[in-house]
Amino acid sequence: MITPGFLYLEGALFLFLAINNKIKYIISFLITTGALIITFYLTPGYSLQINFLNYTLIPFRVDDISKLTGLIFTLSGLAAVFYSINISSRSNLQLIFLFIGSSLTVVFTGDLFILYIFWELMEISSSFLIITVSDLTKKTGYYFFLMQAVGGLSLLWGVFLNHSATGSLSLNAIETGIPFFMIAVGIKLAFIGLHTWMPQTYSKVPFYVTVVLSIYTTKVGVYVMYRLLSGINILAYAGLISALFGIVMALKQNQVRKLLSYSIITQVGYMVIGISIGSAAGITGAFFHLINHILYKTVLFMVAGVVIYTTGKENLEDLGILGSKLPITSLATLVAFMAISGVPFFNGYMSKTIIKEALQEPVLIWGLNLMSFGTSLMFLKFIYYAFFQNSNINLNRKPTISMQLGLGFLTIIMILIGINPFLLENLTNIDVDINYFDIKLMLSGIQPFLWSVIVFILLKKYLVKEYRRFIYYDIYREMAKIFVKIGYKLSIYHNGKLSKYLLWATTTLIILLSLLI
Amino acid sequence: MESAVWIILLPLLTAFFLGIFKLYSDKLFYSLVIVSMVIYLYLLILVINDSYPPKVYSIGDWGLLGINLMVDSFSAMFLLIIAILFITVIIFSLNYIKVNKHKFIILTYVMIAGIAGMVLTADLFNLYVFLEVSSMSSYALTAIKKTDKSIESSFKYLIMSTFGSFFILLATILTYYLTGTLNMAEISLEFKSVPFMIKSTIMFFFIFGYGIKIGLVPLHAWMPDSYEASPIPYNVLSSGLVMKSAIYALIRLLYVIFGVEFLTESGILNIGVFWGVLTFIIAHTLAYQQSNLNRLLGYSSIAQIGYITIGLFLGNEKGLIGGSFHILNHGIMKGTLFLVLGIFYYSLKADEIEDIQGLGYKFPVLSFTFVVAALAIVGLPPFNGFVSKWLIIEAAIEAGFFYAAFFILVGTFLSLTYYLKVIIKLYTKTEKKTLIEKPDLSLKLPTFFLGSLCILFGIVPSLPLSLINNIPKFLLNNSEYIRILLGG
Repeated sequence: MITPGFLYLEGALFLFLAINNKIKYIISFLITTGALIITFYLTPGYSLQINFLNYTLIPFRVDDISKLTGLIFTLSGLAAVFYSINISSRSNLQLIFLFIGSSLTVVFTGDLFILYIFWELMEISSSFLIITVSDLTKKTGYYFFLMQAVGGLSLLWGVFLNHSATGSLSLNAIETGIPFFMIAVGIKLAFIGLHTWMPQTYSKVPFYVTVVLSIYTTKVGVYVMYRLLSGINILAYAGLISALFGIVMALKQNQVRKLLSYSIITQVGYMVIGISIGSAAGITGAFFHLINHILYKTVLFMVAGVVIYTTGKENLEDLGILGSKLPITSLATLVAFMAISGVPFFNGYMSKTIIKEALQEPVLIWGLNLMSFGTSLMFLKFIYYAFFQNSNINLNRKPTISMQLGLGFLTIIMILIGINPFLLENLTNIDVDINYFDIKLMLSGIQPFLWSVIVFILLKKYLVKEYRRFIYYDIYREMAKIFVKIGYKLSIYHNGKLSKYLLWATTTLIILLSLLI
Repeated sequence: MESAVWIILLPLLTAFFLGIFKLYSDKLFYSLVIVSMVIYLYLLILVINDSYPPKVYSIGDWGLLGINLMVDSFSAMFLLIIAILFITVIIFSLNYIKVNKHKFIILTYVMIAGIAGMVLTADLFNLYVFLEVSSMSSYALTAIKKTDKSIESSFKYLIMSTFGSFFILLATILTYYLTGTLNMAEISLEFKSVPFMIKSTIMFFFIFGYGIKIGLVPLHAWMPDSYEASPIPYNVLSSGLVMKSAIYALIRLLYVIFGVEFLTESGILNIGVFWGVLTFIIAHTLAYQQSNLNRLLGYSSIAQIGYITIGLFLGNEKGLIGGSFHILNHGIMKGTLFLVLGIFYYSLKADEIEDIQGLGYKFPVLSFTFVVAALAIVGLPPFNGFVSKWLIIEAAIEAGFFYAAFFILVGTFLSLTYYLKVIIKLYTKTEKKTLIEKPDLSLKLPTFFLGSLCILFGIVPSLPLSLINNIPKFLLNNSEYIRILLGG
């Protein structure tokens, strides 16, 4: 049986055959749609086993949640690949396929060993994508790779600790090593304090790479968090703090993609809260939110991409290009804005409501309202620049058809889910038992949005202004500097004098012999 | 005669005849190199295939008085490394070496004879003799470029290594004095009545002597210097075979003549593991500072030896398997890296990190091979270095060395910092540089062969592991080894 993840990985190999653009299109089309269809027809409960070293591994296992995640991953994979197919070179497309394939394998894996391997493959392929894609991203790629490697290695250490305590590599038997799993997931989620890689990466790489990266990197973190760390209540508060931090930072940005990156941190906060409360409703809400978030955030990144592609610039003022000149893109922007703000009849509303209904604690409920308020506030800024400010920027070139196809495809799905939220429930046989169109729910859902509109109008001059850019203190860079300094001192000491070498050797001999006594 | 004897004799005889042929005709010289290499490969495969259960060869039918050769799984694994590296390096250097080519090939054959002897012998004094044969030819190979730098570094290597050899010889003499025999099995039996203190002293002499040849920090200092100055194909053999044969001999001695109970009792296992951790942390820290790629790879070799030391000094089954597998893997990975670097040096004299800028676009496949090998040596999946590191870490946890296991992961991170630096340099575009000489297939083919092994052994580790899995049987339980050796 061909798994969707392996289909993508094979696709990366098949692309070696793509000597011209036509074959590239055909292969990409076959692989992406093939993976989507296979995922659609997966039956929960199916699993595969292989033997590797002395372990019995489960590289493939289907259940409701993994099928749901797999579906949105393959669906957005289709859109993202088509969005970028004209701009990306063949080797970068291969890396993208490798990246998507390993993310999908992580989602369908049944044990920690395979999880770790494909977690690392994700990290390797995305880092090389960042490094090779442009001349300006070398340092970013270096930082990204090292940061992700710390995450990968702490995952590995957690796996080892857990394996030595329980003797099993199963995903269900997590007993020890929780702090290390937290670090690993935290780095992927861009948790506050561990988020430093994200804004700089997402704002520097070419726009189509941002689209691909933003779909999978953090979302795989959410999925793995559900597998390894669900039901740890304290994390809900951590998620809340991280989300509020994301809002504060996002409001201070002038660059479109930096704003969107910080907004990811906020949106991931919802999912963390949903997963941390651990109830079935919370988890379902978190995963529906994952789906909705992938849809609208991808659309927004694609919009940012279109703006960059057509104008070559990417500050918030340049969003003024939207409107009459780019009708499809503008429509998509509006839909995504309504969705992310949680306005009823758009898809974000549905999952936010489920999570809110699953919460018991008043602090978290109020926190959630505050998050919704902040989210719509920061996107009002986005919309204000896009539609309410006169600008005289001109189109350099038109967006390609494949870009508009990818964008439009996701927008249509978003509208469908928004109008009929039961679509997702029926697709996965998960029944949430909430009437989304209840007047009371709709009122409480739209309240933060209305408040934010009022606040935005009142405080416009504080919100809409050029914020000074400043470089944040980065503790990881400081640590790296210390490491380099120590190494430099050591290497100076090694100066090539033979007498010194003999001295070291004799000292070692003396130490060894003194150990005898 | 038996094939195992020919494994030592053939390279030695080939070297002798090569020396004569060189005087008459180049054609004859190269055809002998090729013919002898093919026969050697065949012999190696024959012996490796027949290594389990272990075989003993008694030379000249003198029984225990004479010299015994023994082939068990540990030696067979080492012969496999010789097979892989020796063949690739000879093919590579036939085209690569320009200065003193004949001498280089002859000395390499002598060195291989010495290493094969170290691996096969079951006799303490023979071990010393073969060690010196391989060391002597190494000194000469280091100096073969005849530049000031290479002669200086060869001199340093000579002094340091002789310092080590002295202690190995001292320990060998002491052993002979105490037991009256040089056969490893008999020494092991006689050693039971030797006082604990004297035995430990002898053991420390052995460890110190071999420690210099292995390159444990702070005994490593000669190694990066010699890598910088010697021809790159020799570096492949040096990091893959010379260093490794020293650790092979040490492990053979410790586990066979001292026995694992004594090792546990004397606390040397704890010292070894700690020393391994110290070695790779310092070596990784220093490797980051290097601007010369040969030196960088040299420090990386020292660090990898640290991992191997940890694995082999854990004293449990998994540790020995993981450590031995890492010996094989490191030979392959470091071989790939050095060969790619060799091609860069051949084409445009690039061996500083600055020089290789932009080569990722000029040599796409070669650079890809470099990236694969670099990721493998860092220990990232799905390459071979990951599998052996996984085994070592698992063994360390099983043996209770949590700190060692944790630091191996720290080491993985540290090695990523400098290999990534090199890789990024490789893929940074630049305008300067014109291609001086195009590498031909005889340079590329060996490189790709080693590079593909990195991937193959990572995805199907059961191929080499079926051989390696037998290693602990005769090391952890030395009475089994002794029985077979005496019975032969």
